[in-house]
Amino acid sequence: MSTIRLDLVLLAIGALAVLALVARTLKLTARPTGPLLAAGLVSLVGTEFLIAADHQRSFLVIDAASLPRLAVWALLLWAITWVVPRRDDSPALMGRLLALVSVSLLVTFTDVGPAHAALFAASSAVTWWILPHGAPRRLAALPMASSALIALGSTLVPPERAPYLMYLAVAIRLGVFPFHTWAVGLFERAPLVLAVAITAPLAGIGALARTPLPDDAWFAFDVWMVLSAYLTGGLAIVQRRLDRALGFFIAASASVVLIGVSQAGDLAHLGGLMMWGVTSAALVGLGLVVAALSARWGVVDLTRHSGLLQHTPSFAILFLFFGLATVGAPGTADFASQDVMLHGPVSHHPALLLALVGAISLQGYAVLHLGFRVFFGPPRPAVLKDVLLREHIGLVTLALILVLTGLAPQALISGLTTAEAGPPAASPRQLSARVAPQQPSLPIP
Amino acid sequence: MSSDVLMGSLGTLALVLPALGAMGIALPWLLRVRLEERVILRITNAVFSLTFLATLAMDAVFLARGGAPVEFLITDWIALPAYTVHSAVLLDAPAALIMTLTGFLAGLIGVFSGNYLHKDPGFHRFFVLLLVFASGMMAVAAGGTLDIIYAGWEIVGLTSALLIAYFTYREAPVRHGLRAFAVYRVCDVALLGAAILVHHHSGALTLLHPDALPPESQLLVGGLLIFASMGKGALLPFTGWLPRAMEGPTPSSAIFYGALSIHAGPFLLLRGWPYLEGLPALRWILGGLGLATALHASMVGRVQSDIKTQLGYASVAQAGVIVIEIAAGFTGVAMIHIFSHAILRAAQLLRAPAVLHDWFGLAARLGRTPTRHEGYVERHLPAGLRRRAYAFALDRWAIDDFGRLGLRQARRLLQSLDRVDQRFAARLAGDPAVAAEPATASPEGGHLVNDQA
Repeated sequence: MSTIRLDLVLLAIGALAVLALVARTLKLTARPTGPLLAAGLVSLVGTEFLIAADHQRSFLVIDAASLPRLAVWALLLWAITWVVPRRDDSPALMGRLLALVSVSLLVTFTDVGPAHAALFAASSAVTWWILPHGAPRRLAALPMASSALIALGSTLVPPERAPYLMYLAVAIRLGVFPFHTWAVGLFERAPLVLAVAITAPLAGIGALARTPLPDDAWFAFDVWMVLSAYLTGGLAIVQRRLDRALGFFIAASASVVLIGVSQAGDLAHLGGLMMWGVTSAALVGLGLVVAALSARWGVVDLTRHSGLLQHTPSFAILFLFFGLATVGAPGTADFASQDVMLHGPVSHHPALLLALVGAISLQGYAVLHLGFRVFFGPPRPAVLKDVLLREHIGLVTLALILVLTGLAPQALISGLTTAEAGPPAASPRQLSARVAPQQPSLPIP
Repeated sequence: MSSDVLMGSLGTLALVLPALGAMGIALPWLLRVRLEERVILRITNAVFSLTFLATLAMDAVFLARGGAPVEFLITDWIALPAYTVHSAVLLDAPAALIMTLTGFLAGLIGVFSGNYLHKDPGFHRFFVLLLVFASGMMAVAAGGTLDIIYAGWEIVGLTSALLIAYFTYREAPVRHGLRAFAVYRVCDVALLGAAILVHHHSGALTLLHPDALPPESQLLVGGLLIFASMGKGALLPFTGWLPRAMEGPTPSSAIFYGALSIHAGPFLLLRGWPYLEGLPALRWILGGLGLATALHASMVGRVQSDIKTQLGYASVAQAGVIVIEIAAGFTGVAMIHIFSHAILRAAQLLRAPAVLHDWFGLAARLGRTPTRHEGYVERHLPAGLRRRAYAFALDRWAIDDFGRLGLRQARRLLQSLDRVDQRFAARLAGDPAVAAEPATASPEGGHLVNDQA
């Protein structure tokens, strides 16, 4: 049975990779092809074989870290290809997206070991390869090469030291401070949809989902990520262009998610995995809104209020919704994820918890600051189309999923814990709650 | 049906109804349908009428039970083997007070705003935000777990900022809305921190069992609760946002800064009273904060030249006095004070747009121009000191300048960092032109390319 399941996963990933090449050859555009592929991925997730966890330690692993990711990738792939602005929809984009998804899934489904590091290195190379020629490739060359080499280097050091290098490699890939330059620069120089597809799904985290950070590194790593969240969040606020601000905002969100994922063996790790899924979905939604606005308006100036609310009220609502959904707004799935995740830092030091919460608050302020700059202020004379039906369907679906999983997070948690439950070999991070005693139950009337 | 279940059900109904109303208005947007004004008004009026009736019925059951509080479990929101977060309501005297006030005043504001904002472009937005605010306020009041209280707290803050910036075509309200939100976010850090600390150390979901925490954590949680209450309560040094928040429509000013939101801070202190009760040092600090705020707001409010700002400062002064009452342990007095102040201030703020009309009406009835009594305290001060006090009050004690100075420095530092980063990126990308001149948007702010969407 487990072989069949692994075959299915392999088949899905392989098919995506092959389709990436076919799409390029047959000049398929994203809009008709992407949703079909996403539907294929969803049907795989829905297959009964895949719902139960596979607990055999093998080259590919289906567990809490990987299985939900298939569903999340399906959703994101569908959303991106469905909402992509017409000017960016091309066979080249479709090929790039498929290559990106296939390699990211391969990394996510691969178990710890040299193969994992090698695939991560290969995914860095693919990320570089799918970028357009010229400035974007030059900008990403050094960071991607560093990321790949460090990942490969992790196979040469003693196994207990390998996670340090893998975390460094992923930090470079995700563009957390001080490695943010390439990721933010991409938003200026590459097609916005491609920049969103590369950075917003936080794909690099797939390489860490099964790699615990050693205890002696937690505190230092958390401090680094908190600092990164503050600086990149602050830099998002002082930007003069919306696309760059979005790049910094994604880097800040990545820093917070990395804190959750790095916590081994407790609730916080589960919270981190939840955050990974819901934050990436919200970031993609936010990125798509910005891409749609940029397709209509060009580069959005943040040095003054643009007053776009009068022209694009629906985009204003969606911008604020997705932005706030990344910082744990009540009623969204990220609220529940944060609630669970924040139990990790508090076990290290209460001050670290407060600092992290402060960084998340700063990001919340950044969302409102950017939203107010773009949509509020004296209306500008212009004729802009508000959200199109196609965009409306894509973005509202994404938003509804975030709200429904936020109102009933147990469904999300059950999915993760069902996949996680099983023999230790397959699930190195059992849920050993650090929350001291079990709270007394309220009397059920 | 036992009285526990009945009261819990009524409380839950009051909590859920405004949220359902907001969804009722927002859902048609999902289907790209725009509701008419009268439909929105009917939904709003129906929702608030039912909510108010539910709170009245809940109060009746509460009184019939002799004032015994009820903890009512709705469902398990998150359930893990060693970690559970309930969706529950805690209905006691403070909760009943704030819920009843919310049901009544939100309904009143809904009716008032129907005429006040008739044909305003933001009519839909206002009513959705009003309903969302009411659900947030209900969650703060009735929240049986810290998670629900925090969720409501966040909703109140967000709707407050969006309503201050309601007149989006003017830059000042937008700026002030953002300022209020910044203060909220700073103080919300403390509430979320307190919630996680309590849950982590004691496993408790409410603030009712402080003994489960080690003493140093109790002190920390108590301090965090005080800090959290300072934002929405507009205590010093966070007072400056509230008078500026009066840029929003008058009905929202009335319900937020006259009636409900301003009392969310003191309410949190009442909820956290078990933590503060045994910590005299914290209570002295709290009392000092309340006193300083009351003095500041009274002094600054006297030199303001418009009625809404004066009323705003009057609200802050009363919030300061309420905090003093709580610090002194007079929690019952504080609740009565909250109730009466909320009603009075809401009425004054709703009447504020007609103040000149009232003034001239009074003059006509008196047959002369009404004069203010010449009995001010400051008349007894020496002239030089009086002038200085006037300038000091006009400058709002220069508190805003300190904050502005720090923020300006942080902004400059970040901008320098950004310039360095852009130059480095340009070098990596081999783009010397950008390296010389960091990125800016087009001076025209964009161009129309609708066809490419």
